[in-house]
Formats: sequence, structure tokens, C-alpha cells
Amino acid sequence: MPADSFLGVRGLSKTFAGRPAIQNVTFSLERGRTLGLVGPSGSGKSTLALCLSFFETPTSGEIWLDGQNLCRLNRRQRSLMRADIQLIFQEPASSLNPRFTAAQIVTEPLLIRGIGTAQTRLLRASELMATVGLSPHALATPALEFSGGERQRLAIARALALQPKLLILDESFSGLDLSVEAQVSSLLLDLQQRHGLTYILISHDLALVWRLAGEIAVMDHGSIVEHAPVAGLLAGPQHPLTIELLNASLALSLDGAPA
Amino acid sequence: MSSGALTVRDLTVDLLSVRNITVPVLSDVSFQVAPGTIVGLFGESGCGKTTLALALLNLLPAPPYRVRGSVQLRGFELLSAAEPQLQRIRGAEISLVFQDPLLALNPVMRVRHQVAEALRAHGRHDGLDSLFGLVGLPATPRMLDAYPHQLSGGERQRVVIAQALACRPALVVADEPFTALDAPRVVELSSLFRDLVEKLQISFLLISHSPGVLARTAEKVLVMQAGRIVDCGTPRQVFGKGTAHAR
Amino acid sequence: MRYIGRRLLHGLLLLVAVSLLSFVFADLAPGDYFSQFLTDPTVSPETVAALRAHSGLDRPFPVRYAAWVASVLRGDFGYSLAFNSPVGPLLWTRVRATLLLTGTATLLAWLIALPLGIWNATVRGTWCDSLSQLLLSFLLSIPDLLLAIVFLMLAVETGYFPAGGMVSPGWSSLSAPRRVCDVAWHLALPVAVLVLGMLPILVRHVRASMAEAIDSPFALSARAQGIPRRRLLFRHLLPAAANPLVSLAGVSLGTLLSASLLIEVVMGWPGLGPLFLEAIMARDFALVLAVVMLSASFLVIGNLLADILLYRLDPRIRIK
Repeated sequence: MPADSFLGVRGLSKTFAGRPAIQNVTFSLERGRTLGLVGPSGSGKSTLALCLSFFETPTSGEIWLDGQNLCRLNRRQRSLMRADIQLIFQEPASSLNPRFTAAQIVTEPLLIRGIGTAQTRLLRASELMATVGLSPHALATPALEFSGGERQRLAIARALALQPKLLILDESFSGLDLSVEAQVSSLLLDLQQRHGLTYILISHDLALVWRLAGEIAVMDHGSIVEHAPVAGLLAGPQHPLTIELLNASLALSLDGAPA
Repeated sequence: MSSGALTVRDLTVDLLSVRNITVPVLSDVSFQVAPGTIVGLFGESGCGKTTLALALLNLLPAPPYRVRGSVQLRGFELLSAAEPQLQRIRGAEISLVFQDPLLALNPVMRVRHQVAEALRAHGRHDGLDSLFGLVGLPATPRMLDAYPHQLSGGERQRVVIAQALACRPALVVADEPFTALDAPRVVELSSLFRDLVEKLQISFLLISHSPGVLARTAEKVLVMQAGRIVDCGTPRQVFGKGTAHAR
Repeated sequence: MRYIGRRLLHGLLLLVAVSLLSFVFADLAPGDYFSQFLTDPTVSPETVAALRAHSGLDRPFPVRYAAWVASVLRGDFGYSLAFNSPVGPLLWTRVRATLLLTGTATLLAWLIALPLGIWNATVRGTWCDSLSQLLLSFLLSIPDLLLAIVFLMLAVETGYFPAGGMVSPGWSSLSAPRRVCDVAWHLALPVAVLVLGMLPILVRHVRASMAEAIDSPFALSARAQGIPRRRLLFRHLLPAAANPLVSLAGVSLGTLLSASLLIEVVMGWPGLGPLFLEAIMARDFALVLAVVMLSASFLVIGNLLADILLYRLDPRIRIK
């Protein structure tokens, strides 16, 4: 029953101009765990992310978060719920206004909701910067002066401002260098441990998902074709697409582990 | 000195920034690419890989860039060549596959015309179909008449590769051609590169920040850091456990 | 198709709004056509009132507006009290003259601005560019009227060009080619003023658009393929830069009727301008309204054409 688990999705579908982007997606996720969502481009991963974070309205289906049916909420309740689910995009460069300072970026969610005073917001900004491993001294620096990895951390800090329960990362690591990816990964794991965050990690990089996720869902043409704990998936993949993805990842790896 | 090779000697590129400060981008870069091989270039973002790629084709605008050193393609010095000569060489002898195919393709021009233009630039007027076949694209009306934004990431990547191969250059510089592609696609394309080397004796300089891809595709890997080549060897030597670049 | 239909509806609503506002402003302005007679001692106030009633000027606002809408739908644009003629035929000759002027000027301006702007974009950063920018800024800062007066003075002093009018006396007796030449000779100065007024903005836009295309990654990619410069510029970059220029062309089209009104008055070109001015001075509301509506219609159509053209030309908009 979707209402029992922390995040429950049942029969979710979204059609764009007659073309179904996701069809009848059903899964559930427990609190504090990480779900990896993989699949070829065009399989509907991003559409699912957009539906879950209220950027798109699903054509049909239900989303339950912490016992509440999100699709039955009125507008005001939904805008309150938005705080609980945050989406982090792929290109840090394009999701952050390059002229905004770090402080402005990180406190924007607070500002929009009228939370706190300018003082308290600034304090919270320092806290958040420290949480993601950026120096609070950089609060006044404009975003374009940060490197790619640092910008991604800023995006994470901004996402954390409203103390969300669920974080959706849509290809947030592609294009980042390995060392930066490693740093941001360990940051996310650390945050998950300390704050009990739940993640949905969307990526075409199977190796990354293998490292960070506890369970993996494979999507193809808008549906989930396989959903299993990570270890089980690697040991015995069922769906041909999963097998293809795994084989390809292994072929690109250095040491026999999925690359 | 083998012919058909790329020989780079002491390539140094400085950038004159807005506040009149000279920033070194590449320092004393030297390496060789033998004919019929794939050489990998590994480095993190900001280390100068794309600048190197552009410098090899002498595409860096003279102000604000200052380029010194030597880049020899089949014995011919590229850095001191005049623009008309360069225009004849670019695409025909050495070509570049850009990093983001969506940006590298003209958004208002159909795919068939863009690839045909690459052919036309050096006097070829046919061969479009076989070129598409070479990179594994179907020469269907849907593909040929499409605009870049209608294609998938993988298809766009192949179009850009087709443009780079159009006039059968001796060397193709590929700047991160596999980012944003999923693993099965990456495997396909890296196999395609190896096929092209065997069939057409084309050399590749493959720039990537993924060790797995380079291990699979390249015979030799150069490691770049802050504008310098700091390591060179086989993928196993460079990426093996215990080295600085292992995961 | 639905898109065009929606835009047409918007345009129609806009025209309705313009007409309503015009009516409101006309009412707010003191007096009407017959007010001039109030200062004439030989005409009694009763006569003026009677004249007003006869022309229907004393009816309440909604009635007058409804009557106007009804007559427009019939194709009748009212009666000009000042010129004692139905509005339609009065406008037709004048509109032709104005369109001849502005059409020629706009075409010429674009024909000059395109190559000039493209050239500017290619020589950015050089002294040619700085000089060009300086000249264009200078031109931009000169008011059109000043230019018109200066040209007129030159015409009068040197006699090389006529100082007004569209045709010389005895025009109808000339042969066809000579007639064309005569009109062209009269067109020269007003067209020059308009072109010089339009050039700076057009050139700036062309330059900016082309510069963006020249700096783009796909331009670099094309250069890396060895595509020669000229072909690159015209066959690859210009189409990519066309987007904002098409919108601008639409604006140019839309202002065909309104751009030259003041110049026509100053330089004596027998177009809508002098007619409009006289109508305003005489408070001949029917004529004023007709000219305003005509201008607004042109604007709406011009923008709509630009949007349609953009939709057809840019595959990114056309194909989702």
C-alpha cells in the first residue's frame, strides 16, 4: 500500500501531446534510502523527476509522501509540500543565476516563503555553506566564480534550505570530474546519515548509482522494467535492458566493477 | 619521425585576460600521435584540454591567446600556416569533434545539409549516404531531413563524428565525445572509433575524463594537469591501482 | 492554424481597444469641429448647436461608438467635416503616397543595414568598428526633423532637389519613364531622411545578431571543418542570426504608415501626415480616428506577419 512507505508512487502516468512519457509507474521507497533510477535517454526518468517534484502535473496516478496523497492537495497545501521534495538539476551552471551571490542563491527559498529576517537568513546561509563544505567567507561571491563542483554544492545547499525530506538528483553528476564527483557523493552520503534524507538518484552512470544507491529501478520507454536491491540486480539481472546496461558498464570499467 | 603523425613540441598557450594579466593555459606540451593509433588525453575540467584541442587546429583567436611552440601534422607546421592554408587543412587533414553536439550543430540547418557542407568544404559533393553508414546512422528521410534538436543525444553525436570524418582526415581530435551518453552507447561509439582506425587508418586524439573509456579505447594515455602533461603510458600503467589517478 | 486564429483575435481586440481609447481622448479634448464657429460672431450658438445635432455629435458616447462600429462594418469610414468628403477616398490617395515613401525608405534602409551590420560584426574590435559605431551613434542622436530641415535648406540653396511635393507641375503630360524619374527625384530627400533615421537601430540589431552567431560554438565547429569564410557567413550564420531580425522586420512593416508623418509635414510630401495634421487642428474626429485605426491595423498586421514568418523560418519553434 503506497500510503505505508515513506514515498509511494502508484500508476503514475504523464502524457505530452498524445505521447506518453511515463506509463503506469509504481514503486515505493523507504525513508533514508537511496533509489537509483537508470535507463537510456528518453526513457522517462526526467519526466518522473519533474512529476515527483511538482514541476509537472501527472496525467493520472498517485504520489504519497509520508502518508499524504500529494495529488489530492489543494494549491496552498501543495506549495507547502514543495519544501519537502527538492529537485537538483544536471547543469549547475544553468540552474543557478550566475550573477547572484552564494548567499542570495542559498537563501532564496527562505526569502520566497518569508521565513526569518535578513539576519537569520544570513546565519542559515552560513550554516548551509558549511554543511556542504563551502567556506562561509564565499557568501558574497557571485555564482559564476565558483567551479562546476562548487556550484553543484551550492545547488545542494539551496535544496537543503527548507529542510526537505526527499531529494531528487537528476543527472547531477554528469560532467563533473571524478574527484569532484567523489567529494559530492561522500557529502550526500554524510547528509543522508546525519539528517535521514531520502534520495532518488537519476543517472546514466551505473557505477555511480551502484556506489550510492541501495536499490535500482531500470526504466525503459516510460515504464519501470526492473526494480531490485543493488546487490541482487548485479548478481542476477532479469530484464534484457538491465543486462545490456550492466555489460556495457563492465566493459567500460577498469577493475571489473561497473564503471 | 613517421609521416601521418601529429607531433606537438613545447606548445605553450597564454591568455591575456581583461585586466591585462597573462594567464598560462598550456605549458610546454609535447607528445606524438602515431598513424593508425588512438591516443587518450585524460584530465580534469579546467586543465586545458579543450584549449589544446583548439590550439591543434590553430583555432584560438590571436588576441587574446598567445600561442607558441610547434604543431606538425605529417611534417607540416600548423601554427605558422596562413589562414587560407589552414582552411584547406582543417577538415581534410585534421578535424575536431566538439564536446557538446547540440551546440556544435547549426540549429536552423537540416542534418543532411550540415554534413554535406562538411563534404563540400573540400570539394566532395557525394558520399553522404556512405558517410552516414560509416557512423552507423540510417540514411532515412527522418534522419537526413531532421534538425539537430529533433535527434537524440547519441544520434547527434554520430552526426558530429560524421562531419569530422567527412573528408577522411589523418587525425581526429575528439573532445569528450561520450559525455551524456549512456554506457551501451559509449561502448558502441568507442568500438566505432577502433573500427575506423582499422578500416581507414585514421588516428584519434581522444580527450576524456573517464578512465574506463580511455582504458577500453586508447593505446596510450597522456595525463594533463594545470596545462602540463604530467604522465604518459598505457592505460594500465596510468590508471592502475596505486597510481594517483585511480579511483 | 489555431495559433494564427488566436493572434488575429488578439489583434482585433487590440483594435477595439484603440478605437475606444481614441473616442475617449477625443471626448476629453475640449471642443469639436464646430467649436471654431463659436468665435465667429456671424454664427449664432443656436446654429452651432443645430449643426452639431445634424452631424450627430451631440449624441451620448455609447451611441456614437456603436454607430461608428456599425458603419465601419459596412465599409463606411465616416464623413470628413473639414474636407467635406467621405473619409475613404480622401485617405486612399494619401495612403498610397505615404506607402511609396516609407516603403522605399524601409527597403533601402534594410538593404543598406544588412551588409553594413554583417560587415560590422566581422570587424568587431578594430578601428573600423569603432569609427562605424561612432558615426551611427551620431546619426542616432540627430533628430529626424533637424535632418529634414537641413536637407530642405540644402535643396533650396542648391536647387538640386525639389523642396517639396511629389510631382512637378505638368507631370501628367510627361512620358511614363519621365514620370517615374520625376517622382523619384521628389522622393530622394524625404527617403534620405527616413533612411538615415532608421539605419542606426537596424545596423545595431544586425550587428548584434550576427556577432552572436559568429561567436557561437557551431560557427567554430564549421570553421574546424574548413568551411570558407564567405560561405560560413552567408549560408550558415545569417540564417541562424535571422530570428530577431525577422521580428524587427515585422516592426518595420508595422510602422510603415506611421513612421513618416512628421517628415511629410515638414518636407511637404502629400501623404497621410499633412492630412492628419489638418484633421487634428480642425478637430475633424472622423478623419483622425480613421488614420489612427489604419496605423494600428498596420501595426497589428506587421507583427502578425513577423510572427508567422518566424514560425515558418525557425525550425526550433515550428517543430517541438
